[in-house]
Amino acid sequence: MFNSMDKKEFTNILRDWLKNFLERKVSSTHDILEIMVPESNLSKINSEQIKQISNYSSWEFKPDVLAILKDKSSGKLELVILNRSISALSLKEIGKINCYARLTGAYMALLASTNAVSNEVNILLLEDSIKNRVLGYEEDKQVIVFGWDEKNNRINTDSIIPFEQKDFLNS
Amino acid sequence: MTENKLTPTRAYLLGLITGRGHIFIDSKSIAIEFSHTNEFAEGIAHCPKCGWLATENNDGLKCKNPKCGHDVDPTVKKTYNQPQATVESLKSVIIPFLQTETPAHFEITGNKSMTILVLDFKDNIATFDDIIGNFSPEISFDRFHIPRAIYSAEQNSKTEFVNGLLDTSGFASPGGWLNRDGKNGHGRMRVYFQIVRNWYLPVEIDNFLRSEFSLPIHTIDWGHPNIRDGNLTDFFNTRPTSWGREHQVKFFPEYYQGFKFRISSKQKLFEELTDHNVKTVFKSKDDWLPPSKITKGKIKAYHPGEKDLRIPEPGRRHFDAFWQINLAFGCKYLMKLQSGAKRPECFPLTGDLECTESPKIIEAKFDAIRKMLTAEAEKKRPVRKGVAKKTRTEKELAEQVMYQPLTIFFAKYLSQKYKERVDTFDTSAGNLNLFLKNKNRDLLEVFDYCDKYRIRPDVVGFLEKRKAIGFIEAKITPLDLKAVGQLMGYCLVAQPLEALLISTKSPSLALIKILKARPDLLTYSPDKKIQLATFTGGKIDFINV
Repeated sequence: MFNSMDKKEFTNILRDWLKNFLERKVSSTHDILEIMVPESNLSKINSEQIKQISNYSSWEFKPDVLAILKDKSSGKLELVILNRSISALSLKEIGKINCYARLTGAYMALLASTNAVSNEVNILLLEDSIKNRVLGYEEDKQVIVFGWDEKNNRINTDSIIPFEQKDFLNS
Repeated sequence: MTENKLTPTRAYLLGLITGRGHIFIDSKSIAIEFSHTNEFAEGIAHCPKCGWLATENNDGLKCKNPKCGHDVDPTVKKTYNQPQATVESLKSVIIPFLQTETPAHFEITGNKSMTILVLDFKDNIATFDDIIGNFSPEISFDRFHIPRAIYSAEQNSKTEFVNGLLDTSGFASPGGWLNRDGKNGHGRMRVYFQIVRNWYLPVEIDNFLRSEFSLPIHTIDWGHPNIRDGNLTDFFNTRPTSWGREHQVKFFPEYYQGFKFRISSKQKLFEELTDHNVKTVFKSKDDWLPPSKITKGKIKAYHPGEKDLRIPEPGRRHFDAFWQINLAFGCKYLMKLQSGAKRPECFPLTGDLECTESPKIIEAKFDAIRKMLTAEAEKKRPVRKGVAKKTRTEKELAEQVMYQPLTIFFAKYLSQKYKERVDTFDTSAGNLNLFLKNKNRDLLEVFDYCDKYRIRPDVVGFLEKRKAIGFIEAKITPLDLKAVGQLMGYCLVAQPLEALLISTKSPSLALIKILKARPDLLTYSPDKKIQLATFTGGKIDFINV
């Protein structure tokens, strides 16, 4: 049986995965300035980059993993936030990261679990209108949810929601 | 597609949907659940010395052969990884098979306990309409019937329909063996259809297998209080609703070799169980039909759960035998037997075709026995010291205390604001859809769209005229972003008319700071937002950040 990982271990694995993932996916358009596991709320974090982003002082929360990117052409600073759980994801966790994503206008918002999405939420998210409301933020962005395959130490590709993000996360 | 041209592939798909399908009308998609509660399933343990069945006792696995009785190493059992086998079978066998005739986009999703196959028909709405027409107006497997088209289909399509049912609702497990002696051993293996919350499908499956394939069924194990908790043991041992699980239609696999599972782990287990029964050799078909007569020893105590609203009307009463429930839910074979009985009105009470006694007298006799059994069960009720029910945390208990006053407040608040009658309920114990299904079916008729809301707000208000709902989420800790996120999740799903986040404490400073900067965070649809409030001294005060 698996599912033996603790939260801290999982956080560290995801931090490393996110680093590799961003290097593969966004390094042509963005500089990856920092990838961290925040120890305090973002409003109090000791990062010169964050302090350059407007509204940062009201960010009284901390995602489990945070990446700071810089758009190579515009110079705009962008955030990637990632939350994790070692139990099946419920609407609580999804609602929470949705709030984080709306507050920060995150470039990318990811939610991972070693048990993927709970059966109940999985069925709910199959209804397009519900999925778009629950995962959507800003005008055209969506939180990406996925399960983590502990045995093989990689994303469980069949667990990615929305489905249309499967290719993006896998390739 | 006309009824008599139902192809085997389409029939298989209808079988999958009947077993565990969800229809999403707006999204033009169908989801099919493949449940695998345990990651690993184990096969049969046979004694390596004599080949008999070995079963668990306190000392581990032991051979059932009285002349052998050896300890058996558990590693003799084969192990199957169910989630892995399910995904592999879907990708390599089931989807390619369905794709030959089903113009849909296929996706797989799920977790360790369930894999879901999603068929998206956005590019082929005619096919979608054709398929869902078989189930209309129902949209979920807990209300589906066997589609009428199946009955007039060709035999190979009927077989594929059963194959589809088996892949979703069929389970082969050595744990379900029956205590029977065979010519060459002991223990008769059974496979079962697991039917969840659907009270009509078990009898339909039984009757379909009899009428179309002349196959026996061993029993239907109903999730009914008289069947699952006949002597009230669970009821008096803090599990009063333990009976409310799925129904199981059980059969002996050796008669069902004309069917197959396409999920490889299930097929392998099915083969193991079949081989065991074939080698052990059992002479009797052990079919439940004709039913055994109800004698004094078979009568069951009255159970308070008999009146539970989760049970639909035909079954919401006392039964002494499982086959009486089959009759209540329309078993045509029993109805035929009944019509040929000497006194048809006696048959449902006794199962005796020759009975000529007055039903009133029989009922009075049985009633006396049932009452006696109920009294005996009551006497055996264990004496409990202190509170024995499910242990709740202090936080849960403190939150629970809020629900009743908040329910009263919410009714008053909503009816004053919207000038209409409002029903409010403490729904904290379970999901909103199950609350309506199990406890308030009349409201479900009006608020049918809530059937898909597997969410758990603490208090829900129902405004019948508007067909609208309102939520309260109660906390005893200072409101924070986590609490907002939770209620936001519910609101984004259900778009309630009102959503109140209420705590006995003032909001955290962090939340106030966030909301000062971004008051729009509480907005869940263009004109609706979560309202924050405190509940102190029995009074609600709304917070304007």
